[in-house]
Amino acid sequence: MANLSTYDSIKTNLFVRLQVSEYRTSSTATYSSTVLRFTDAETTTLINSETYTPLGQFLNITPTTSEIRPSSDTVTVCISGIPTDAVEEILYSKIKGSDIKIYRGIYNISTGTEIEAQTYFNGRVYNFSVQEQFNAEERVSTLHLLLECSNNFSILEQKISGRKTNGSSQKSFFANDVSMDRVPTIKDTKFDFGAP
Amino acid sequence: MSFLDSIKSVGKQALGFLGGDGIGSTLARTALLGYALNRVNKSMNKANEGLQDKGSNITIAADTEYKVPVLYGSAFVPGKIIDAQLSSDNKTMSIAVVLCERTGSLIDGTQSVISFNEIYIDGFRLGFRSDGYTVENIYDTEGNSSNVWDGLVKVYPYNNGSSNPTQFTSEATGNSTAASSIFPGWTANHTMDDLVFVVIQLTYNKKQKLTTVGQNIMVKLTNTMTKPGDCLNDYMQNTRYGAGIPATEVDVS
Repeated sequence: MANLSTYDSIKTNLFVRLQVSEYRTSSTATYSSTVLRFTDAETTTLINSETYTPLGQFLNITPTTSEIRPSSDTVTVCISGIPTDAVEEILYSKIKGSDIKIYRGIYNISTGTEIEAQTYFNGRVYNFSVQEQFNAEERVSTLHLLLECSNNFSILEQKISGRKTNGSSQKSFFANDVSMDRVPTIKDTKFDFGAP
Repeated sequence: MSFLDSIKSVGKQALGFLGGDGIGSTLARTALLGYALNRVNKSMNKANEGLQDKGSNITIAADTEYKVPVLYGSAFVPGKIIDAQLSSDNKTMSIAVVLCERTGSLIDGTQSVISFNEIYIDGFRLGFRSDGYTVENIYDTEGNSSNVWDGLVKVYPYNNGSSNPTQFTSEATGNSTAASSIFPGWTANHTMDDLVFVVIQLTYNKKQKLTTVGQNIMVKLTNTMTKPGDCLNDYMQNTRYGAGIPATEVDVS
């Protein structure tokens, strides 16, 4: 981590890297993997050799808790000012489950150069919602996109893995294996071991 | 004539009748002989019923919700029966016992291997004949041995599915037959993929007190994956029993 005490003044911005594995712009378009990059900075910025689109105050991210031990956490990413004709991109793409990484970029105000980019949040989008804000006088509406994200720790907490000794569990990993099909049967069977 | 003389007289008449050559006497003798044989038969049957071995009526402790464990390092692993077949003469019981998952590769790319060290049935350690899978002796916790199960139990270990037989580390040789050729009714579709398991065949013998399949089957296993980094990396990445974290997100350097 950079030693910030050597700088007279610094500024920070947040950078969101959202990887949507099934993204499309209309209901008929084909899915493709797309990475959406945006920041609350006022200018286009390069982080980790990737360019981030400046959204300025249209992007708001809730704070995270910082703890020494790993803990479950959630953040909400709010993008406002989305034009109504762009809503299709949100609705027809499969945003749920997308990987999201948020970096905090630290800059030297005097020189405008990047000092460091730290990982602020690493997780997945577990839900999203679109809210409309309608201006009655001007008869125009804009949309807010809310991405609810949980970090990897909470995803792992919810994860159940492993196989059980029954046919369906075995087939979920190895479709053609019938070795455990008889477990329910033998469970209730009495064997006359040694009977004449 | 006293009453004693009267009794004697009746007895003589009866014996004289049975000892006579008349049809009545012959019929009476036949009837008496039949009755006597019948009583003897009944008596023998009763004796046989007491001695006849009716076998054991056993149930298998199978469990559809049992989670197959993951083993790193060395441990005594309890087994869970997933299949059982009784031979047509009811004398030989075959059971397939799942032990644990086959683990993945070490960080250096070497495939981990699980080996069989010892097997215990109801607290008795099994010792084998020279073929490496037929039980010769059993040992109690104090090391005392007995050959009461000699030839009555066979143990076939597998450390990576049905087509990968292995042997106990204490034996010079051992099982070399696929499980589908050992277990009655199993085919090439009984693959037991990525499982460490054992097939046990037990021959009923009441005299030697081998009348059940054992309530507690325990196997001492050793995995070549022992280092914390290897274990953690395997558990984080494995998609079957672990967290399923992509390799790109785990820095192993």
